[in-house]
Amino acid sequence: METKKNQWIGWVYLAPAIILMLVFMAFPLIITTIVAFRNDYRIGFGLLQLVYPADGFDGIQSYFAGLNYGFGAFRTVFKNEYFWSYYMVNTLIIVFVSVPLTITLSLLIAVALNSIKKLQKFFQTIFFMPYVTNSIALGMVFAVMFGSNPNGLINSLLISMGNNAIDWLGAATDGNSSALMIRFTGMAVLIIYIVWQALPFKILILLSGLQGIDKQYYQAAQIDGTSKFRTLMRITVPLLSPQIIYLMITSFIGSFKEYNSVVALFNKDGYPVTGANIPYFGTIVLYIYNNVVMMPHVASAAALILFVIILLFTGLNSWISNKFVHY
Amino acid sequence: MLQLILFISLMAAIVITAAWCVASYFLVQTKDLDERELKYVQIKKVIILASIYILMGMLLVMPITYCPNFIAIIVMLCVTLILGWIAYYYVDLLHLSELNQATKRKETLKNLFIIAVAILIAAAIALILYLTKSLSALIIILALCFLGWMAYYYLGYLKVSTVEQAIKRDKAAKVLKLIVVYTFLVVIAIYVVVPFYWMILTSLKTPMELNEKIQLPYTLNPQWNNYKVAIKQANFADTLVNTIIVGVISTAGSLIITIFAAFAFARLNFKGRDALFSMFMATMMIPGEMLTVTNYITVVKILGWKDSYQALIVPFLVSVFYIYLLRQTFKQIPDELYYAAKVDGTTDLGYLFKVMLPIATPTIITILLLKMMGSWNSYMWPNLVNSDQSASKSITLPDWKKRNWQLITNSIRGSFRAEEDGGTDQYSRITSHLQMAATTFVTAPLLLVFIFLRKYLMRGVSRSGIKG
Repeated sequence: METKKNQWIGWVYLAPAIILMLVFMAFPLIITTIVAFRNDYRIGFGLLQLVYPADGFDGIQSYFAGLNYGFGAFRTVFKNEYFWSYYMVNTLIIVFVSVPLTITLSLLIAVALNSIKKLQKFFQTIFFMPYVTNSIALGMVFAVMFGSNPNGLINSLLISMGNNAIDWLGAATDGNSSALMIRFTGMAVLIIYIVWQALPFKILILLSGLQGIDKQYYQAAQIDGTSKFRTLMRITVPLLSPQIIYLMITSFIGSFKEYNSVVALFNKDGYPVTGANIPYFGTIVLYIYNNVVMMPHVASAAALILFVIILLFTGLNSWISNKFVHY
Repeated sequence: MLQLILFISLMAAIVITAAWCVASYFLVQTKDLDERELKYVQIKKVIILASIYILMGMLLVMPITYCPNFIAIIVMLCVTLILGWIAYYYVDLLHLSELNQATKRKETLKNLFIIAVAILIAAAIALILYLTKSLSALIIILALCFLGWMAYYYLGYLKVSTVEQAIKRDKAAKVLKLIVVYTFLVVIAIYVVVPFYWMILTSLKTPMELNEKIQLPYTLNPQWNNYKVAIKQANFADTLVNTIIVGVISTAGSLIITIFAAFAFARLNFKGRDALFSMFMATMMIPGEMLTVTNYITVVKILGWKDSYQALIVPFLVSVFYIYLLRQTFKQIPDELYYAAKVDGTTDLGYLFKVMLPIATPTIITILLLKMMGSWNSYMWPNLVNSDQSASKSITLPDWKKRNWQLITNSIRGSFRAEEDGGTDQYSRITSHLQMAATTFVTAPLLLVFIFLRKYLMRGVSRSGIKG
C-alpha cells in the first residue's frame, strides 16, 4: 500500500515543475519548429491559429494561401545580405578565437596557481571576481576603457607612449578609420571582453581538477628529468581531459549564443556607433532577437539553424572526447 | 596649511630617527647586558608609538584637505616610512653585539642593502620618467633590465660545474621560475582588476577631465555628485523596485518548486522517475533562443502579461540545473535517516523540512544567490516583454501602469545617450562619468555578495556550474 501511495505522491511533488516545463519548454520547442516552416507569420495571428491565412481572412483562396508552409523563412534568413558576411562570420570568429584562447589561458593560469604556495588564495579570489558581475555593466566599462571619444585608458596609454589614438569601437565621427579596420579592432575588443568574462569559471573548474591529480605522476616525471613543458603536455593535460572537454562543450555552446557582450559594447543592433546601418558586430543571436517581434517565423528559422549547429558541434565534441579523453 | 603639516611631520620623522640613533648609541655604552635589553625594549616602544602617531596623523590629514600635489604626499609618506625603517634596522644593528648575533647582523646589513637598491631603482625610474616624459622609454628600459637579469642568471647557470654550484643552479632556476610565474599571475590580475578600477575612477571624474586627451589614472577632486545625477537620470527608482520584487518572488517560487522536484527525484520511488529525470536533463541542451519566440507570444499575446511582473517571473521559475544540483545534495544523505524517520512516524514532508533541508542549506544558499544574481543581471527578456511606460500619453492605459516595467540592467544600457540628454557645448556631450556611476551602482551589490558569500558561489560553481 505504501508503494502504491508513493506512485502518485511523486507526481504531485513534481507537478508544478512539469506543468511549467510543458508550457515554457516543450510547447515552445514544438511551436517554434512549426513556425519556422511558415512562409509568413505575424504575431497578431495568435499562437494556435497556425493554419490561418497569411494576409487577413477573405475568401477561400487566401484560406488556402494561409496554409503557407515552406522554406520561406529560411530563404529570408539566407538571403539577408548581412547574414553570412556579418552575423554568421562574427559568431564563428567569436567561437573559434575566444574558446581556444580562454581554455589555453585558463589552463596556464590554473597550472601557475597550482604551483605556488604564497598568495594562492589571494590570486584565486581576484580571478573569480568577473564571475559575479553584470555583463552589460562591465561591457560598458570596456567600451569606456577602449573609447576614443573621449579617450579611454587604452588610448591614453597609446598617446603617452607616443602613438596615435585608435578608434577601437568605431565611435569617432571623423571617419578616418576604414570599415575593415573598425571591424577588426571592434572584434578584438569584443574578444578581449569575452575572454575576461569567461576566465573565472574555467580557472575554478581546472584548478579543482588539478588539485585532484596524484602528486606521484609529477615526482616520477621529475626523477626522469622530464622538461616542464613535456610534463604539462603529457601528464597534466591528459589527466585534466574530462574537465577540458566539459569546458569545451559548455563554452562552445555559450559563445555561439553571445549576445549581452555585443549589446553592452556596441548596441542592440550590433552597429558601430558611427551610425552606418550595417551590423558590423552582429551575431546570430542578435539577429534572432531583433526579429522576434516583427518577423517571428524568421527568428524561429534562425533559432532552428543555431540549434542544429550547436547540436552538430556538441555531437562532434563528444565524439572527439570519447576518442581522446583519459578517464 | 597642508604643506606646513606635512613639513612638520617630516621634520618630526627626521627628529625621531635622529633621536633613535643617538639613544641607541648611548645604549651600547651600557655594559650590563640585561639592563641594556630592558632599555632597548623601552626605547623601541616609545619610538614605534611616536612613528605610528605621526603616520596616522598624516593619513588622517590627507583625505580631509585635497593636496594639489598628490605625488608629493606619496613621496613624503614613502620617505618617512623608509627613514623609520632604516632607523629601526640601525637600532637592531647596534644592539647586536654578541658573537652569536653576528649572522643576524649580517642579515640586517643585507636587508639594508636591498632597501638601498630599491630606493635607487625607484629614483632611477622617476628620473627616466622625468627626463624622457614618455612611458615607452621606461618600458623599454625595464624590459632591458629584466633581460639583463635573465642573462645574469643564465650565465650563472652555465658556469656551474661543482656540486655546490649545482645546488646554486637549481636555486637560480627556481627563482627564475617563480619570477616568471608571479609576473604572469600579476599581469592577469591587472587584466582582471583594471576594469573595476577604471569604472570607479571614471565615475568620479568631471566632464572636463574626461575631455582631456590623456586620461590620468587618478582624480584629484572626486565628484560624488555624479552618483546622484546618474541615479536620477537612469530612473533607478522604478527599476530597482521591480528588480527587488521580481528577484524575491521568483527566487522564493523557484526554490519551492526546486525543493519539491529534487525531493521527488532523490527520495521517492515511482514509475518513470528515472526516465523523467533524464528527460529533464536533456532539456539543458536546448538553447534559450529556441524558446524565446513562442514564449514571447505566449506571455504577451495569449496571457496578456505585457508590462507586468509575472511576465518576468513565471517563465523562469523552473531551472533544471538547480533541480539537478539539489538532487545531488539530497542523494548524499544516507537512506538510514529516512527509514529511521519513517519508524518514528515522520511524514515525507516532515522529513524533507526537518532533516533534508537543514543538511542541504549550503546548496540552497548557492541556488538562492545564483537566482537572485540572475534577476539582477537579466537583460534580454525584460527588454523584450516589458517597456518603459513612464512617459506614456496613452489614454487607455491605466495610471498605475504608467511606470518603467523593466529591470535594473535595462536602465543602465538604455540611459545616457549623449545626443538625447546632452546640451550643445562640448562637455555635456560626454556622459561616460554618469554611465560609470550607474554601472558602479549596479555592480556594488554584486561585489558585496562576492566579498561575503564567495564560498557558497565558488562551491556551487565548481560542482559543475552553469551560469545563471
